[in-house]
Amino acid sequence: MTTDSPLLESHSLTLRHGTRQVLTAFSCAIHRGELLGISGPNGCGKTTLLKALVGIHRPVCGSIVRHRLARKPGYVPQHAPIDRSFPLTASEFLAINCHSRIPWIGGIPRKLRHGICGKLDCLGISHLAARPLGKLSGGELQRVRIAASLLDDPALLLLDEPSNHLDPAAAASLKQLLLHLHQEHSLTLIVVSHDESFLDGLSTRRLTLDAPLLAVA
Amino acid sequence: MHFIELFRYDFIRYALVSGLLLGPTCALLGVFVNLRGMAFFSDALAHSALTGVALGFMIDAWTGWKIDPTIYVLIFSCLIALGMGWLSQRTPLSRDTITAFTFTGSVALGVILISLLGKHRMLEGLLFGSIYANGPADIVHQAILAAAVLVFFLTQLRPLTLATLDPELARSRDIRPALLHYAFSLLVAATVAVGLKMLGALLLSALIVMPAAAARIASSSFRNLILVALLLGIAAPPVGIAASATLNLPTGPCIVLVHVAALAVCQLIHLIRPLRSLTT
Repeated sequence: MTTDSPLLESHSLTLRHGTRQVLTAFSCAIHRGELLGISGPNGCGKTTLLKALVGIHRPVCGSIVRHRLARKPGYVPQHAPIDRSFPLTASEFLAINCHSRIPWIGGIPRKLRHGICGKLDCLGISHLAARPLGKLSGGELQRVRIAASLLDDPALLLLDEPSNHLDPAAAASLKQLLLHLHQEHSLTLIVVSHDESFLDGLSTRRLTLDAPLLAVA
Repeated sequence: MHFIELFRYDFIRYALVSGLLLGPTCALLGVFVNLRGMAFFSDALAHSALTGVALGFMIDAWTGWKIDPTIYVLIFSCLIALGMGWLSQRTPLSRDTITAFTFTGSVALGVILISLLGKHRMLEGLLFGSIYANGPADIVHQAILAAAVLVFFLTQLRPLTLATLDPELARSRDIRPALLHYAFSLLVAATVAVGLKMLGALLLSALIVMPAAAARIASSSFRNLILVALLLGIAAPPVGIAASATLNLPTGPCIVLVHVAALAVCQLIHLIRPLRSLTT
């Protein structure tokens, strides 16, 4: 693969959310080193598109081509309300996100310790390792989720509404983190957000979806 | 009676082995029954077992077969568990609602079938069980169940935890939350079928729900949750059996009360811990 060949390509993609068609004949290519921002109003199909690109939503027709480096992309889904009483520490959350076959009975398996601590260090949150998820702030929890998505060192990271439920300071800090990952770690990013201001100064390319979308090249 | 003297009796030894096999097995399943909000589900399965037993008697009466009632309960509980899972995915009804009508419907059907069979006395045994009715065959069933649960948790604990916490994230990690839910529900159904004889329908769900509930109060990490739940699951049956034999009280309720006491102690520790950190 050359450095110019796309990491991810969609060809004539048609997507449905329930019984409603949200995207029709959508084609695009994401190249290595890009930071693509996808915005648009509620219900235009941003999340559905992202899920299709990750591989957890089947298109009605069309195809998605993932190149070798993007076979297992990192994915941070939209902030689901987490049960705050779920007794799981931040490092245990990373442990359950590993693709490893090492049996896990809580805690951090010795063979995974290096990788998990390394990711927490890389995102500057090693001090949160032993803290229960329920005791993290929104911004801290989002960083822990990003650390978990980076465990397999993906070349491509997809984030769905990462600034949701964050105050302006936490959103700005998250934006800095994403820029740092993009510039210092050469990570290709696709960020979906309805908040245009979050994508301003972050994305190198913008895609705005309208509802309903017929075709975007 | 001295505690050591109890071991001279076969039925006490079987009861202890049975408790030591089923206690930790139920506790381990209980961790996820608790985390997934399925406490009412396990209760409903335990009560629907009445219908399984009654249907088994009817089939045996019609056909002349002599099949172990545990097999009928196992089949019926698994069908009920799968049915509830299917309904929760295919109808707009909440899991709670589906569990409620399955619970009441199956108990109603079970009581009618038992009254048609004229076996009213059997109801008491099914509701309260008797740990001393365990024989070698029951111990074998319980050992197979314990092994199956252990293998399931050793291989699926990580995906099951992620699917419980965030199903969407789990799907992106090539995990199939719905399939895991069905597998887990079937294990709970099998546990209900095998454990019915020991505690009966009324007390069985206590053995599943209570150790994990106590452990959840006392734990802030997943490792502690599993360890405390297992410890309580292992300790409660022998303590309950010893209390029952020495005080001449019914055994099932004694085991359940040991769990209630453990839960109260965990809650007390949970309340005292912040006060102690304030004073130091």
